[in-house]
Parts: sequence; structure tokens; C-alpha cells
Amino acid sequence: MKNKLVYLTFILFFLNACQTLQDGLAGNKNRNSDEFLIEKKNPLEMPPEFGALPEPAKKVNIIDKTEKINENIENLIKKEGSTNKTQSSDKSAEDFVLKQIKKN
Amino acid sequence: MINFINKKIIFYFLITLFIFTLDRISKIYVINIAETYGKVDIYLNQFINVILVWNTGIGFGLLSFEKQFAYNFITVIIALVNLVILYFGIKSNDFRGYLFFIILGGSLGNLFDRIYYSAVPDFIDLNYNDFHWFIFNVADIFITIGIICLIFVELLFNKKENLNEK
Repeated sequence: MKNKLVYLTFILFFLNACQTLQDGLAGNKNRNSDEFLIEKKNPLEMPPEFGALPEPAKKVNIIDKTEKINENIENLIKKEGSTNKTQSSDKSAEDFVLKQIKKN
Repeated sequence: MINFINKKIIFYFLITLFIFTLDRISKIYVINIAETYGKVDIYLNQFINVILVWNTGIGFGLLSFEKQFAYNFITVIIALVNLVILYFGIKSNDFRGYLFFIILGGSLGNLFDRIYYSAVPDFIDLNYNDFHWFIFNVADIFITIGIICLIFVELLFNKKENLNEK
């Protein structure tokens, strides 16, 4: 009879699938224990031939694009001004001619 | 006589099928909740919670190995134990047969999960005053009931036999 009870206990252990809450919730953490396998990064260091590297270039007068655009606009305004003047002069000449014709 | 045996075996088979189906429905329901909400942590009342955990070992959290070989080895042993239970269930002529097939129904439920999911989902958490019993599933309930009944039957029969011998 003792043998039968031992067998039944064995079956109880093998066929059951219960487990503790602690094991069940810690299981995922155990599986994801890769954080200890991450390689450590070396501390920051100066490059080996830092002295041999070229120095950064000194200040260069670089004309900004905006400045260029502003200049272009100013030039255009000037040109337009000059054309308007010529137009006005042309008009005055026409008037002069017309007046002369009317007189005659 | 043959008809009686057939009826008995069909009844045994229905018991096993009923327990297996009940277990499967409960597990599928809980796993669906887990897939929808990411986890299962349902507070039913102060004594019962539903928390989904996966067990790769055997009862009471034992033999839970990470290695695939150990897992497969345990699965094969469980399958063999199932066959032994099936043999004893068919062989027994009294009501112990029903108990064996109740155990078999639960055991097949857990074996199915071991093969299909590579782990058994447990989700019933009994607790009282922060003392948590092992988390188990529906299959475990039937396995435990069956085995406890068998132990009692063995103890009672043994007493009767001893009295008869005297």
C-alpha cells in the first residue's frame, strides 16, 4: 500500500502544473537577464594622433545667402526706379511734342 | 458483456473529453485576455485573483529548466505517466476507473499546453492575508481531486482488507 501512495504522490507532482506566484512573476526577469551580458563602454579618450590633425579653419568672410538676396532686391528696386524715371521723361517729351503740334 | 465494456469505455472517454474541453476553454479565455490587454491581473474577490503565469516545469514549480532537452525529457515522462494512467483506468473494474480518467482528462490538458505553448498557463491565485497558494489551472483541480480521492480509496480499501484478514 505504501508503494501505491508513493506512486500516487509521484503522479500528483508530475501531472500538476501549478507553481508559486513568485516564480511565475520572476520567470520573465530570469529569462531577460541579458543586462548583465552587455559589454561595458570604454571611457572617453583623446584620439591617438590628436596633435597631427589639422586645426579648424579661421574665420572666413562668408556672405550669407540672405545678404546676397537683399543685395539683389536692392539692385532690382534701383533698376525699377531708373526705368520709372525714363518713363516719366518719355511722357514729358510726348507732351512737349503734342503741345508743339497743337500750336502749329 | 462486450456492450457493457464498450459503454464503460465510452463513458470514461466522455469524462476525459469533458474535463479536457473545460480546461481548454478556460485557458483559451485567459490567454485571449492576455493577448488583448497585454497581461492578466484580475481581482475577483479577496480570496481569488486571476493572474496568468507560465510554468515550464512540473507541479509546485519544480523542475523548471531553461534547457530544451530537460523540458522535452520531462514532457516524455509525463506522456508515459499518462499512458500508465490510461492502462490502470481501463484495467480497473470498480469506480477507481472514473478517478483515473478524471486524472487523465486534466493531465492531457496540461500535456497539450506543454507541447503547443511549450509551457503550461496557470491563472487561479488563491490567497488569504497575503499568503498565496500555488497558482494553478482547471486541469490541476481535476488531477488533484482525482489523486486525493485515489489516496483515500487506497487507505479505506487497505483498512477493509486488513479487517477481513483478521
